[in-house]
Amino acid sequence: MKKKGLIIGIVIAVVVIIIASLVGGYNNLISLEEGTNTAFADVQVQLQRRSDLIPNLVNTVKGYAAHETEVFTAVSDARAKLAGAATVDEINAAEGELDSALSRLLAISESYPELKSNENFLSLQDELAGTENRISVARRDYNEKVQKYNVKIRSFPTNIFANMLGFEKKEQFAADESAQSVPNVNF
Amino acid sequence: MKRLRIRGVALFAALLMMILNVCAFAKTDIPLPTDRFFINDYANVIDTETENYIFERGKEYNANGGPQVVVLTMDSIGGESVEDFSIKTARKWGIGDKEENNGVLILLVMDSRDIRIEVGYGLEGVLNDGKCGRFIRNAAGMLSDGDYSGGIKQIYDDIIGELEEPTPDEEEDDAIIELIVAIIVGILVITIWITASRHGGRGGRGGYRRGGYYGGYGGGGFSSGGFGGSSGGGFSGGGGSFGGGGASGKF
Repeated sequence: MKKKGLIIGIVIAVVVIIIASLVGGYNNLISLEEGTNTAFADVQVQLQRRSDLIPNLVNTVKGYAAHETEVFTAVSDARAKLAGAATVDEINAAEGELDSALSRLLAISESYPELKSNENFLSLQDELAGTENRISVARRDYNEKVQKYNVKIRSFPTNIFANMLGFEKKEQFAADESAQSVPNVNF
Repeated sequence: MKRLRIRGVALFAALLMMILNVCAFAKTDIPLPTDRFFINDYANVIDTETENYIFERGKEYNANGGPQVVVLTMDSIGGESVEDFSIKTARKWGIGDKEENNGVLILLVMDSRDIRIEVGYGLEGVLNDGKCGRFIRNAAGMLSDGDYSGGIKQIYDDIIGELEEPTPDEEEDDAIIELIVAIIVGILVITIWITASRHGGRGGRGGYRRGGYYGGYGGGGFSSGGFGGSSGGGFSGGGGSFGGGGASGKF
């Protein structure tokens, strides 16, 4: 009789411990996942910020080099494509296109000395470079968070229930050197 | 058996050391701040007078709970991009207050001839990238002439001046919006007041607003907020965060 009580007690204790650790693990997963969501939102905020800057930049360049229409179209096409991108993969793809269009836009200024020394243009260029940098910082922060999250859902014992509850592995941003580099402004 | 175990331990220790070594080698070391925190002249290019000036001003602001503007000069950052290095340093040192995120790092790298102003989250509005770029352009001439003390002081003063009295450029738009909001609020208050008085009841005081309309920028006055370590001899960051704002340039 005494023995039975002991066994039941142990079983109850084990069950309680298992449930407690499951709950703890689950809550931990939730907070990790929320962290990645916040970090992704940060990336999108910065992408939006750059997207908002582009028309200003294009208009300023237009004021001095109105006939370079091909570059303007390329920039606005790429911008639209990036605006429609929702997943990490799509963003990665649209990113390259916009980068090359933007560097062509900035290169125009080389042939227009007046544009090159225009205070407004210079300041927009600074804003653009700063935003590019913010994007790469936000991405790196996102990647770090995703890595922690991915490691967690794949490691034992979290992996047992992570799959069941629909926690999926998340994509990271490509650590592409060209996407991370900031357009350089020389003085 | 025993010897084998000792050998195993030795092997393990050797492996561990190798791994640690590789890790240490792969990253550019972020230097520790000096005990003067606001001025860290590791490249030894700033004269004593400028160093003292920056330190004294930094101390002054620190005592008032103002922003932390920190200067760092490096001989080399090992080929890393100046943006990466500066944000890592700014975050590690925790420049600025934890609540207000009002830290600024001015970084000068000698071998790659990079200059960067890293701006904390809380100051991105006042010190936007365009202004930071302008400060760098203002000082680029002095820096390329080799007058590093003069160039850094110029940037430092530009930043401090901006923090004390923000120049209105794009804030003008905000001013118009503020005016419109103020007018709308005013009309609303008057309407409510008229309606209330028409109804004769003196209980209708819903339109009464105390203090009027607030719309300050908070850039001018430095509100208080304690920093860690300000009482002792050494100074340190308050844990401010950074998101990559600011500007970089070559000199």
